[in-house]
Amino acid sequence: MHTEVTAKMKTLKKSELKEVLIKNWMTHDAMWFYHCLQECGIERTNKINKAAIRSMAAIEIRRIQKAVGTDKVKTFEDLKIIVDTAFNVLTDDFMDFNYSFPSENALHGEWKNCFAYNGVKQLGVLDRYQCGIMERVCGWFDGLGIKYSVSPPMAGCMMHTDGKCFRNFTFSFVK
Amino acid sequence: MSSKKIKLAPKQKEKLLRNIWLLHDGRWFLKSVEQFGFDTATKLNLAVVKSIARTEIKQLLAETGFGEVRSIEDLKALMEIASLLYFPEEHKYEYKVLDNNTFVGHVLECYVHKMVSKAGTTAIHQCAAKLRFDSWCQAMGLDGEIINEREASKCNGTCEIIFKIKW
Repeated sequence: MHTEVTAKMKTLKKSELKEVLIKNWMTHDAMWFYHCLQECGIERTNKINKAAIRSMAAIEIRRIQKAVGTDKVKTFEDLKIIVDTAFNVLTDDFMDFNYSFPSENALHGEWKNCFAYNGVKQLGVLDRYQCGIMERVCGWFDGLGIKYSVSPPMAGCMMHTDGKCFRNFTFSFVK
Repeated sequence: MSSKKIKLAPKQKEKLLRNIWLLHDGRWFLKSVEQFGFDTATKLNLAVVKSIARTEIKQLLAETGFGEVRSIEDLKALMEIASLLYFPEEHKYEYKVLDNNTFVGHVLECYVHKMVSKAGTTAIHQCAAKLRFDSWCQAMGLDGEIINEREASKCNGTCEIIFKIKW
């Protein structure tokens, strides 16, 4: 039995391995959120969650930056490479979102079915939840030291209030 | 999508994912320490480990189609797969089957101990290994006991974790 299973593990597709790693990572994150919520309520949990994401995001994006070999983000093209790689490495299909660069200095992201929304909904605190997904994306740009603006500027859960979720990021790179 | 393509090898992607997952976990712990103090953060960490451990084994069982764990050899095989997947490369260990009911994991260099030593908190750290393996066994549907007698404050990064399983 075990030799068969070991052989099967070796032939796991890269995409399956990635899915297991990312799903478990996100579940681990959700467990932290859940247990903090039980311990101290939603306000402090939001604070800790956002602080953890902020500091993690700054480091993860620098690791991506290093991996793609872009020392300094000087142009919008440099940023696009980093963003493409970050989304490619750090996200998976179950996150069900898409993004595009509709014009120079513009990034549009939209979520069809947010896993964070679904998880927080189960915990019954959506009305006071502060979005960790956007915190992570903003943490990337802050970590890279890039100036940007984001619209609409909201901290809560847009999926909860509007039934859909999107953000437009505008950068100020000179061509 | 950008016009220039940068292609990371699957190994590079895997390394980034594993490292950032650990980093994210560490940040939750640190921020919890800042908010609640060490004792509560430790309590939270142990609760989180207990619940995530069940999930990580269930996911692995489902993904590999492993089926039931029916013998000590099955357990060893699954432990080897799970450890390769969920422990970082710097975690050094050996597994050994002692008899039909006993499986031992010798930790030679513990990655958690390394991080805790860097943080200077070995004296007050509570090791989550026993809890994690208890949850792994529960997720495998096993009836047994995990024995880890060494305290984290005195382990120096090595220990012996014994799995006593009733079949």
